Amino acid sequence: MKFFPLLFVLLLGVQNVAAQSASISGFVKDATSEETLILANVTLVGTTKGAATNNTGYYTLTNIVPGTYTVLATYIGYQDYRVEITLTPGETRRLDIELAPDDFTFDEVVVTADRQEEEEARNLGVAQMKVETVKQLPTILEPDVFRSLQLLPGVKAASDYSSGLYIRGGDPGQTLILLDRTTVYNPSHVFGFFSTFNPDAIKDVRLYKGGFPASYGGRIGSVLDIYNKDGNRREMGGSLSLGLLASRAFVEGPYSKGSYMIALRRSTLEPLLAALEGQEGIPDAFYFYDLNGKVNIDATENDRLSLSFYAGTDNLDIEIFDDAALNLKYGNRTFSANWTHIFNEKLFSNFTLTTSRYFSKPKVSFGGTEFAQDSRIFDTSVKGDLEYYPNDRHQLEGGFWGGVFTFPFSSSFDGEETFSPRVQAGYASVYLQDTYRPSSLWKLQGGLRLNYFSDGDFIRLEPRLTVEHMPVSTVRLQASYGRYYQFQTLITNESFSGFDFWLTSADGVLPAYGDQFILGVKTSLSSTFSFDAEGYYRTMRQLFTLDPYLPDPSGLDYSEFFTFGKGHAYGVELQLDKTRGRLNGFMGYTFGVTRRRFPNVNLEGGTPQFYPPKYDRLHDANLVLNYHLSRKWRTTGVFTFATGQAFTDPKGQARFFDGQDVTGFQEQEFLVTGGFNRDRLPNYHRLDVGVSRSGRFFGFADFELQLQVINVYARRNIWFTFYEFNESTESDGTQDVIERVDVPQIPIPLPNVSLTLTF
Amino acid sequence: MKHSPLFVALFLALGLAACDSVDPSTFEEQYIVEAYLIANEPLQQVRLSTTAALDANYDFNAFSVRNAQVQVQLLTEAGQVETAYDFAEVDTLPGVYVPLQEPLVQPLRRYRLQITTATGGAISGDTFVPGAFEILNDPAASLVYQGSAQLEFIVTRSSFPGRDQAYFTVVTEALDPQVDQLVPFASALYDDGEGEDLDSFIITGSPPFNEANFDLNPDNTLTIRYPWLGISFYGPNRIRLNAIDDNLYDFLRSVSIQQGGSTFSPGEIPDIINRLDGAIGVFGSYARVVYDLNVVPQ
Repeated sequence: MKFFPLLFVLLLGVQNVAAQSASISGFVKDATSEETLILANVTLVGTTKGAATNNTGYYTLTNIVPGTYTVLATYIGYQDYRVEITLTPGETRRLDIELAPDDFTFDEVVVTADRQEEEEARNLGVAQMKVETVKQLPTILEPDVFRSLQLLPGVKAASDYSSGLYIRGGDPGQTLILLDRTTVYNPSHVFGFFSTFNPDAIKDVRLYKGGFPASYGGRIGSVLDIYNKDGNRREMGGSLSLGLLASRAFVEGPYSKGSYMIALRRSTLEPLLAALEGQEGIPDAFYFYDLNGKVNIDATENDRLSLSFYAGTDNLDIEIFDDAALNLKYGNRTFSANWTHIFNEKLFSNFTLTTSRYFSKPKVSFGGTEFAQDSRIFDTSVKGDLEYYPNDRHQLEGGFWGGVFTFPFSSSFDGEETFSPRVQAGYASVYLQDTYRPSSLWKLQGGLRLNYFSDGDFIRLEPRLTVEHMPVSTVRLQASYGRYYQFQTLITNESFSGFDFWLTSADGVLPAYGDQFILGVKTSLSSTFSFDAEGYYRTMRQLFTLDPYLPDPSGLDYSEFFTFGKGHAYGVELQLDKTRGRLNGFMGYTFGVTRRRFPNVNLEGGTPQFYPPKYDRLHDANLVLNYHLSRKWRTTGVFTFATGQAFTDPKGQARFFDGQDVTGFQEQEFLVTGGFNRDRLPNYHRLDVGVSRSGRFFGFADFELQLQVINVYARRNIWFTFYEFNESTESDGTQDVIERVDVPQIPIPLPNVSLTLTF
Repeated sequence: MKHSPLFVALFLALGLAACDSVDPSTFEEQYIVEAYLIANEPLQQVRLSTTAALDANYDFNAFSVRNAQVQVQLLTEAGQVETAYDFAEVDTLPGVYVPLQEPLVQPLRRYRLQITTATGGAISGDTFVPGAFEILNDPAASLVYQGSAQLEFIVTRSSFPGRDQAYFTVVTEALDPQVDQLVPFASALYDDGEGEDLDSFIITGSPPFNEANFDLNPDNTLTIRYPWLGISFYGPNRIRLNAIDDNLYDFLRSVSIQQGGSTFSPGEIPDIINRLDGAIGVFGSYARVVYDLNVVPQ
């Protein structure tokens, strides 16, 4: 691997290393568990030198003039760490830092750090969601990472029933979801109701809403990067949570070579189903589970290995009515083996082997005729990332990612296979990225990512550039441009994710691509308040998706399955944060517009026009508050407001009467619209509140009891509308009428209770 | 902050939004056409009406379009009119126009519908009639419902220009529909109620499906296995297998997803795919074979 540093140096053309300078590097960890902390800040007090820890919790500061310094390490939720060190000429000091968690005091708010520690997390387009926040927010039955992310500016929810992430005008398929560096496909439970990520197992959740750096690729929208906990390296511990829908168990602890973590979650609906057995609409079986595990091996001071896995399944068996039944089983499996190696204080590396599997097997039987679908994904890859610090002005990063994925998909009707496009493709990408800091006021990050996709022999280059300027210490001005390509497309129906599957670009199916332009202002108003604003404009070109009008793909060429369109989105996001004190939380507002254009949709004069997809919302605002009443009591509240969703409100009707021999309808009704999605449902708003009580549980564990209510004031938000063709009996006879039916989102106050024991 | 890019971005976004606004939809009355041609069968009637407002009580007579000039033209390969067939409105059926002659529709030929309304509205549309096909074997006349034997046809192929394969629909009509003759699946639906009356089970149809679902035999014929899902009643049933043109294909594939069943989100309702000028609806054609089957309970 020695050619990599050499390559970096040649490409950079500079090597300004003072021979006698010193350096410090190491990991930043939680003092109680030795869990590494991602994006913690390490600075030398009184200098401009500082760095944030990377995805493994590692930092490095180079080219330090020998002398005596105070090292300051900070991280939100942790006490400051300060230590005085004296560096001698040429010294390379390994300094692993342990931060003690904040001990919240009710009477006196402890301010442990200034906003500087969050600087890296406040890069353009980046949002970090604390796992504690996920657990504290009022929730629909289960705490959920995705539903918490939906509260952030720029991130929208399709409905109360969906955990899908619609980010800056992109659909869920445009977001790359990584768990411990492994791509996860369709991570949902209960057909999209909430995501598969168990908050007990998660260490860090970082969302790149847009403008993500060259180290990420494969999607044209955004990246959600999730890391599971390593496990406590100090002592064994765990927790047990009982909820209305599911219960969770979590264990972590040390062993001779490192640490481990296991988190299990399973639905606990069987008693309820048994009590309701025989009732109409009650399934014969329904359950879901997920299991997360991780083993860390601290091989040497400079070598760390970890094995991480995830397994989750949903299963539903239901007799719809006599001689009609549905069976649906779907889920994910992931595995990753990770090796972190520190060559020296200037060169850091990480290599990962990943495998990801997704399967969905719906089977419907009607009147002795079976419809079945078998959708699977196998994705195996190897990736490597290198970070090189030639001097204190440059941080070079490079890496590769290559693999093979196979999407065997088949559907059958009445025992005959009707559709089986077995797609197998190799993919590879390399990237190179330099972060250049010419002074403490400026930061430039430029990168290139080169992608290859074997099915179609596509080679695509993605340039990325970000510029940041700090005119004053409390204000950061940021601008970014990037091009992004995507070779896969998610075929989904927002209302039900259990049938989701993926298709890829190929001959005749060009990869989708888009450009993103972002401007941002990040300000620190005080030690407790910050205000961020970002404006974005993005294009989406060569979008390819399964033709929604295609009734039957049998016998067609692969490229004939698709319809090709384009889109764009733009908006402004504002976020005011209060991160400390008895009352904390954030307020977010998004002004956003997104449009799509596809053949045969929203025609005017036979020509398709741009239309707003259902998740387009002009205004979207969220208020999230936590208030600590005392050491034991805490309240939370979330208020959401959004412009009503786009929908099609038909204005006319027509009927056919003569086609029964070919259509099968004695009377064929159809709707005539004035345009696709031109109308708006009433505005959406909802208030959720929660209260929690914590303390000791019979002396052997800590407990937290949460009582929450979703939709406190019973707002009847509309999910969607449909139209029924009925007959109305009038005094002058029977009339054909159309009745609009509004299907509500969660229409009533929905309580939730959970008890968590931590030991 | 005075020159913050935020305000520039906000200003630009608001400006773009002003140019990118979507006007709410409104109702505009349009002509509705329903017309079919069947290969090797006489010309069929043409229906002409207008759209009704969504909240209107629908009655075809109330929305029928009267006194229009209706003509179906047989075209040459070059698109010239070879023969024109005039239609006349039925006195007792407003908006329904029948041919004055009854020539057989020629397969693999192009026809044009021309309508001029009394108010001068011009409507036109073309259809290319799929190639005729026929049943070659002698399928079972009687079968046990969901028994070991399944109805199988062997048919010749129906051709259509620009396509490698035919698109079909299959329609089943119960010839002696009785409540006590409903098969279990249909009976459960019927018992479930929700406004379904027995008439809605008498004729059932499939969405369009492709020829590739069937086995292509070495002699260029097709073996078609008829699914039990198509049967709603025990007793005599008439099965029609229709090879449809592009217009019918477009109409059927779009009307079936107006309220779900595809990748459109719920509440997103596409209009039907329309191939007419001056109106919406369908001027389509198809070729068909017909077979009668007696279904016996197990």
